[in-house]
Amino acid sequence: MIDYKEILMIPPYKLEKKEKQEQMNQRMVELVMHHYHSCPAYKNILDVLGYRIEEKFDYKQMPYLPVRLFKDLELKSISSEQIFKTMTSSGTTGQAVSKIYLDKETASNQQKTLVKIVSSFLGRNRVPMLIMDCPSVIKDRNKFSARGAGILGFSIFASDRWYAFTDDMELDYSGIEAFLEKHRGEKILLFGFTFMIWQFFYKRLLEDKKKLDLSNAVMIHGGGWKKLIAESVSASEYKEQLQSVCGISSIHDYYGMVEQTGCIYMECEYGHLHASVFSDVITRRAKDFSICEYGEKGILQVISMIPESYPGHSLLTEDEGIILGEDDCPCGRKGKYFKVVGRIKNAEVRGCSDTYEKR
Amino acid sequence: MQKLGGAAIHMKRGEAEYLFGEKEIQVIPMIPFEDQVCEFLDRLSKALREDLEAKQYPDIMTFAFWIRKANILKLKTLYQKKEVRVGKGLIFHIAPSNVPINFAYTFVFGLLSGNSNIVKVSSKRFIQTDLICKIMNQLILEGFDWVAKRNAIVLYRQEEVELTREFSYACDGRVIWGGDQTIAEIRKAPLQPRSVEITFADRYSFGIISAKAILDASDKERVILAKNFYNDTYLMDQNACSTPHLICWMGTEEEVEVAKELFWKEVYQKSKSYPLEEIKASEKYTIFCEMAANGVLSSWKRYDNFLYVGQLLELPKDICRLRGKFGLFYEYHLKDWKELSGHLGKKVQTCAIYGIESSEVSEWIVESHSMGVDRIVPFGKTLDMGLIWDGYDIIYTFSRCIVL
Repeated sequence: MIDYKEILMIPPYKLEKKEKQEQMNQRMVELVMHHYHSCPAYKNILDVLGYRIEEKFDYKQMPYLPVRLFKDLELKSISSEQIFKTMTSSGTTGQAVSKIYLDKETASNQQKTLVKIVSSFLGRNRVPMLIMDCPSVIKDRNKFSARGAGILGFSIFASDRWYAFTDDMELDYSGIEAFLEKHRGEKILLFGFTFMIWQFFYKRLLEDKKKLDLSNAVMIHGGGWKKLIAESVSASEYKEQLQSVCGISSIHDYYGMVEQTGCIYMECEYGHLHASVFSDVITRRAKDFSICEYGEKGILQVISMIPESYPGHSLLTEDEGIILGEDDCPCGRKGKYFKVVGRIKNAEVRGCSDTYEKR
Repeated sequence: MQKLGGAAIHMKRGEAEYLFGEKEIQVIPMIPFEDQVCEFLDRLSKALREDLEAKQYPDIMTFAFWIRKANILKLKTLYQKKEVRVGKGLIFHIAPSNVPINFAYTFVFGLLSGNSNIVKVSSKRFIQTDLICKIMNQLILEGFDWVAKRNAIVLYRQEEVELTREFSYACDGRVIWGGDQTIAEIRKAPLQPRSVEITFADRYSFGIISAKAILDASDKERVILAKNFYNDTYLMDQNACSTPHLICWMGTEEEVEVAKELFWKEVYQKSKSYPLEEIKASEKYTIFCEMAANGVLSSWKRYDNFLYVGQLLELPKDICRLRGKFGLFYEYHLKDWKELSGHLGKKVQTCAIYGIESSEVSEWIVESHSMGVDRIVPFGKTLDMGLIWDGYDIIYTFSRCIVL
């Protein structure tokens, strides 16, 4: 297998389509083979689907696992002794959570990939990081939630850290002001979850009629728009409103999931999410999972070159998106760029079984 | 506030909303198929079929058609025995939360068996429920005030256990439509010593097809079969208890191979009219992958995303595991009836058949001492409601016999 470390040497947004596809094909053939021989459940699925593992294939034709499978099954390509840590998605109480098994190698590659991607936006130097969350979110280190994992993952970029919220989700004004004073003149990283920033930072500042000067800061946020769509807040409004309360102008959303940690899709200055060389996106039609045209809405398939300890290299998500183009975003980054439209809708399911209404 | 689709309800704690009828219920037992009951049902049938809004709901129309005079009188003849029967008194029904129309059927079962009724409908608040109640309320003025005095349709949250306890203790019979969890919850509310209970729990259904019958059938017959199969399965997203998930094929190797091709191809043609939203495609693929991962399947046949058919390596001990959704089925070549032995547990409800005599199946069920299978019907009939359901004769269960 090619050493992932070699792939890591490639700058994240420099490869053009042809070279990238070659790179993808080579790595994916190896990953599919590796998981086929190391994860019995993965082998079973491929056998039933009728994939011929020995035949050469283009990575666009390789099988994809539905992302929810990681909630229902324990999928790993390592022995239990090799598990370094287990990551879980932040499911609501009562819901099943994804379980992602990492060995040291895959965990370290995730971290390094994240560094590569994010530092191309932030610069190479570490910066003071204002975390838009409360300290207790990472207390339980054994059970990594997506929120905790995101914060810890991004903490690698921090020269100094401060949590903007107290544990009862109040804005810690004096703490924030002291932190900003300490790092006056430096570029500051604001990191947190899209909705939480809106709910506990923006709304609180507005309510308290307070202003902060964060004009020198870069904000990176992720976690999805579901709740904000419910409040009818658009991406552009989100940016405008935040700028109005704290002067911040550099705001980047990112798309990513615990099942493919490390390979995040960063939003560029033009509001487009970008696939890096370490990953790719494909959109598929519901009727037959055929590949959509660019500009056509479809179910997002995400591909990551990282996962070796679990078969998460090619996943069919439950999100809908539109691929806007490839190699020609005005921001100059190569690779596909796209937008996420939202979750695939919950259909009203007919049937006659349960009268018990779960809350 | 309730999630899961329906509108939020604002209700005082401990109080039920009466969609029809009143708090004080007159308990007046009658003979089954009492004339005034049949008259009311016929009037309701007509009123529903004339209502412009109700007309837009195929499930209401099916129900309206089922309670029409001709059908009720036909059912009545099945119960023309010499013995004297009279309703037990008051029946408390807990209708399912996900099939809007079932509250109406269970209510009619209670009426036909000669009882007064309290029907708890889903707090999800379906339009169908409101529509039918609205029309029943209009009929009060047409001389059917007795119906409103003896019956009530109520809406309250499952959490209001006090109400469930009150109704349960007052009733002479209780009907619960629901999953295992619901039934366990409701059963915490005790009944009076002589009261009876029927539970319509989660069930599993499957089908048997004779390969030879498929080969012998004309193209037209196969199209009809595919349409019937579609109605049995896709129409309810494969979520109804009587929807078949597993198809057992009978015949020689060669016959079965060809018949499968013919049959599924026809089903695929029909399935193209199914509204396959993204979420359904995704969920179906997930269930399929899960089954494949567990090593239950050898291969699959895939017709776009409209139809998946997984081939079983062998029949698992518990066939009820083999559940599909949105057009996902399993198939198995049954070489001998004996192969089914031990697989038909008490969760198994309906056996749908094509090209096979129902007596052949029933004889084998008796012979093999199976605990399961309460219904053997042709494809296309699996969702038909009847007065005998899940092995219970509802009229007999909710009436008492006076011995002369």
